[in-house]
Amino acid sequence: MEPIATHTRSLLDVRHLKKYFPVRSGLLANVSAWVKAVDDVTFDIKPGETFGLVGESGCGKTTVGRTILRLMEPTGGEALFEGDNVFAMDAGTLRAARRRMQMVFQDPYGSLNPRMTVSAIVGEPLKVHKLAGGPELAERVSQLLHRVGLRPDQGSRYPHEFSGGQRQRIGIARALALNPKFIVCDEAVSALDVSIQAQILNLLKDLQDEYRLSYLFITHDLNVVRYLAHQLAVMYLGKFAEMASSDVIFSNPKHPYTQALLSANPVPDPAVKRERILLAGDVPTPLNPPSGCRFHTRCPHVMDQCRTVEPPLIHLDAPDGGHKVWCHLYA
Amino acid sequence: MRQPPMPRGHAGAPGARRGDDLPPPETLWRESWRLFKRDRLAVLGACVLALLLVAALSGKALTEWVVVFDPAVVRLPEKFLPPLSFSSNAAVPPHDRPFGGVYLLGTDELGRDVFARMLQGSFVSLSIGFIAVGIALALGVVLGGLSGFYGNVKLGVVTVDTLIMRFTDVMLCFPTFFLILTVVALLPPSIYNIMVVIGLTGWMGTARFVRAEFLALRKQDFVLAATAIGAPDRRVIFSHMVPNAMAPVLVSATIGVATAILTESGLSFLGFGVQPPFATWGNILADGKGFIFDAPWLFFIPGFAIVMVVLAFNLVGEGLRESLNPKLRKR
Repeated sequence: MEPIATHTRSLLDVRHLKKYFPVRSGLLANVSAWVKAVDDVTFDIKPGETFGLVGESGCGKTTVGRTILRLMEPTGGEALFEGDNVFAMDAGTLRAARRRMQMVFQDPYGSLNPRMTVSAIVGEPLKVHKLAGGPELAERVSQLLHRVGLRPDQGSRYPHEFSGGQRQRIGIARALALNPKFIVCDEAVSALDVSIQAQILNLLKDLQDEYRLSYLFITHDLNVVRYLAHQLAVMYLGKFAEMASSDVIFSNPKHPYTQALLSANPVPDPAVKRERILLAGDVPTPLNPPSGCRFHTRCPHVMDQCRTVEPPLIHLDAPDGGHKVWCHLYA
Repeated sequence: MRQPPMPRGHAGAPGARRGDDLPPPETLWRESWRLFKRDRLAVLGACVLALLLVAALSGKALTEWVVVFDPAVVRLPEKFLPPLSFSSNAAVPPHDRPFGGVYLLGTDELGRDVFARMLQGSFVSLSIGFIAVGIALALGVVLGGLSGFYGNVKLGVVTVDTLIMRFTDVMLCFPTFFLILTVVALLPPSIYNIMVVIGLTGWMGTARFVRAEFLALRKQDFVLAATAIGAPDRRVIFSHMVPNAMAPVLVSATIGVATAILTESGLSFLGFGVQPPFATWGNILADGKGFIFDAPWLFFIPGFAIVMVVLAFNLVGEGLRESLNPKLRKR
């Protein structure tokens, strides 16, 4: 255990988070195996900071976001939000805590109820927590719509009448309604066109500056996190591979997986010569992850011990907050 | 409040153009109606049903409250008159003569006015249809909803889902009509018993529909979003899931009314249904079958009415299924 003093400054402190999904088979639906979607993940987010979580599809990023908000029950670990363990809260406390932590979803088509008007959607959090009603509610909703760049008179319309970017703005307005301190952005811009992505990212950044919001920004797009994230973690098959400030990761990546990811990231400059690291094969199934280091099946620098021994956490020196890497290469 | 104030003249300015970048608002129901109108047969069916509704209500009013058409008057001198005959036999006392002196649909073997009996029967048939389906829907939505939403909750060794769905399967195993016959043979054959029995044996389809819809909806982001803003289960279920699960329920209810009317007619035809002197289409048909060559209208008029109404309900049901189908609407 680290001393208390280090995490009093954090807004959110996630320790040893685990989420296993049972695999049932057979006549009696016995649990025959576990998919370790998230396997012992520890990180913390400071107020006003963006924590980027990067990884391939199926590596457990979304599961991290959803378990922190208790939209899924975690298997183990704890998440201290302003000192209170979210995973230990009863239903009433949790509902109250949800005023302070919100979520923006990936799919702008699926995350809005098609049978509610935009005003009803954006005003619902206020109604649920009985924070506003009547004309005050309408006033607050139109302020929120205005803040995210929608015209308040569009509030009487239904979600299907809006474009993807506009819908994502509606989703952001809903998340902002309760004045939260922390928002999980789960692939919040992945479903949008690049030009719209930039608009939404700018909006998120402005809102962060204005309200000192913290984001957990989950994405597979490195260019997106580079723009937004202060801290960055790279995830592979349910575990972190590397964690450091965003600048350090982009300028000096240590883990072979991070290096491969960065080399696959397009750079909009044809003059830049890049060395591509091509990974062979696919991501192994999390149902039966490789022994030792989970990345060893695809790692260009694989050594004998990687196949059997789980890599330890290595602390490397770096400006702002250190550089953590889980790799035998640096042991 | 941390939001900046709204700029003046933005929304409320007189003559401001509204929705310049979007087509005029169209609610989902309005859109469904537009799609429904395209289906000529369904609109025809809806017209027939509207007529039936008028007939049933006026039937109740004009045969019981203000007796204009008396279905119970026996006029033996004027039996077996074909439709559109005038009441001219001097042996019939003036106060027993039909309204306007005309038997619109003829008379039966006791000289009763078939038109009056059909009117009375239409109310019975329709109310049995609606109330039986109402009972079936209430049961089906509650059981299906419980199964879909709280399905994973364990009750001892089995889950709620297993318990409810296996009970549904058991109910589906019985041949409904014979089950109803058995029950009606044991109970006094009143109209209320028939409604309840038809309702209690008709909920299984709805329960399965609602369960399937709920299972699908639970995974939807907007339901997750409702949980994330801290909405209690009650609100998640009734404001987010039920409205979105209603389309198939509405369709099956419409077709269910037709089935219930048919079942009631069948029961009355066999003599187990609504008892004389109360007229229903089923027992008018049963009475008429003995005189099929002497007075064919006694047989064909109720038969035709049943066919038309059942057909109309089915056409409307199909039309609704089409118009509520999300694949047909523009996004």
